[in-house]
Amino acid sequence: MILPAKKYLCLEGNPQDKLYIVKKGLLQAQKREGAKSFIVGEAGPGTLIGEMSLLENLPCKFTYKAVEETELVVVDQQSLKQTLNRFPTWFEPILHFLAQRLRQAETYKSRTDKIRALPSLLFLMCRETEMGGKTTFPIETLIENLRIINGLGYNDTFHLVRALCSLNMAKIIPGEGVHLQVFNPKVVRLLYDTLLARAVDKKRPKTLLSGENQMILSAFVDSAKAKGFNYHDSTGVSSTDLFASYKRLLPGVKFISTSMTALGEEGYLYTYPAYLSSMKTEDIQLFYADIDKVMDILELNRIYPLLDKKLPESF
Amino acid sequence: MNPGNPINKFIPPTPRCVPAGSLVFKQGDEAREMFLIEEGELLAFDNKGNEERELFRMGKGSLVGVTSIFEHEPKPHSVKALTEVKLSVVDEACMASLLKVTPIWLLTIIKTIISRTRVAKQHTQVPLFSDPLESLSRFLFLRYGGKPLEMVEIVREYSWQTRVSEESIRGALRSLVRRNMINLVAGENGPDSRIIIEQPMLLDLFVNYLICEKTKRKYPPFQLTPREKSCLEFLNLEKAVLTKEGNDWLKYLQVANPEASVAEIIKFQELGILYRDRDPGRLKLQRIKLEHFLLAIHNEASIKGSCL
Repeated sequence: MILPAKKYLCLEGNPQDKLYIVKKGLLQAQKREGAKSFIVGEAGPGTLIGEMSLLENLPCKFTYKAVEETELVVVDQQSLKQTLNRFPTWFEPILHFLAQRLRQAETYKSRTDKIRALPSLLFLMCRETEMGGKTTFPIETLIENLRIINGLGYNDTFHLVRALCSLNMAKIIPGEGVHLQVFNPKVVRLLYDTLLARAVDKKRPKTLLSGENQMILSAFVDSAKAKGFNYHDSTGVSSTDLFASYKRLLPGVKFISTSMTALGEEGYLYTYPAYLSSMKTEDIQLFYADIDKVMDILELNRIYPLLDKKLPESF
Repeated sequence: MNPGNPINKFIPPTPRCVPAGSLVFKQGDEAREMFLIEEGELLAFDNKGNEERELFRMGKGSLVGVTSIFEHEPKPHSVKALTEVKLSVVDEACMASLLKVTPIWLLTIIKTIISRTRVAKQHTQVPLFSDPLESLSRFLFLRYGGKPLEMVEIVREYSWQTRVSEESIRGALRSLVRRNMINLVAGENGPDSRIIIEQPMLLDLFVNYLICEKTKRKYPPFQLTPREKSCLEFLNLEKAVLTKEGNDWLKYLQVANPEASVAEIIKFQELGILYRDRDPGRLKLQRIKLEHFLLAIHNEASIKGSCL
């Protein structure tokens, strides 16, 4: 087969079931990244194009364009079959096994690359929102910086951003210049710091609360929204209201006042009188906290478990 | 088989019979052989503590241990016979004799697939970017918040983000010190434990220069003529916001350099140093752009690494 200069051999993503072997000439491999197309390599004499298409019917990985007149040998499904007919029957399954293994390895790598780029993406989101002071910013800058710091490509970064959006952390705003809107920059910062603390200290960060403590904070928010009052520049709720909310959220589960030690130490929720381990639950008159801080920490604890469960599924 | 078929020259697999309950191979076994199940059923398992954990079962027609022969990997799990099993054992000699008569294109497919699999597996452990200096410089530029950075924290954080080894990061930091991009000073954690970045923008310009080099583009600040540079130095002396008509800009620049011409005005417009103001016919000085150009010019040796 002769492919004239500047003609396309195949287009990225198009179905293909043939293998091409470059005999003479030169082709250019191009890959789409967003709206742009990038040259990712060249295919000269001896190069195979489409081995996975021949064996596994996978679509073209790249777009190939002839730089000069190029001579190619074409191996189609029939030629493959004829060749394999001369071999022992177990030879063909080996080829498919190796091809599937490659597909699995590349899929795993692509997924791992995206998951591992998450810290850098969060870091850049923090930077945009904290230094730029805006919750909405152009996604192009984010993508470019992630490419430089981490090496993740445009398409993969977009997948990762979409996955974060599926966790309800941000929203992609389409338009001429695509923007990303971060719903709560403080939660992004908390998530970044929590992941960093987990990786560096090799233990559970204090920002990750037990189920019991999350329920107490949820009960606080629930009661504060309905009957909260200003208490020394923070939000206060009476113990009666908080216990009622707690009972509604967790029917039949007893309020454990010892949880207050950890919540107080971490600065999430305080009591009046100040909580002492010797105190009984009925001694607490009121609870008070910075309600925004409590809501942020609860949001972090909602998102965190989803990272392991939901994020890999998104890729 | 066709007697003229070169495939007839290949060494056939060896038959092997394995009684029920017997081990076919153990996890970690490095023998380079694979098995084709002709009859019976095999069980793959691993050991968790003292307990045997079933992984999967394989029946007639299944291939076992393909990677050990093609990728020379030890067996990832143990396999035993659930029933009496008849196997065809394909060892290296058998496979080599078959590959000898395999058409080159098919052989190349196999080699390409194996090599791509190996690369994909190995590359999950290494950073995706190609230039650690470029990556680290952009990270430091964005991470810097006006205060000295603790080296230990920065190394850990960047290593966590990128998977670059701490040793390599320290090496890259030393390289940035030699380029005068950053300084290391004594801190609570000992000598050279704090990173001082006097001109963070220099790190950003350095990244832009590296990108230009990589993409074989010319880095604009280093393409300026001496006359253009002298005009930029002169423009930088005036700190007020400057907006003038084209001709006035020319007269203004000719104060510094009588040879300045309309070519400089056009060039500065192309570079974004001068841009069209809302007022038609007037050009405004983009001071930040000017400062970046001059910073790059004044630090050309550091950016290019010729100071090393």
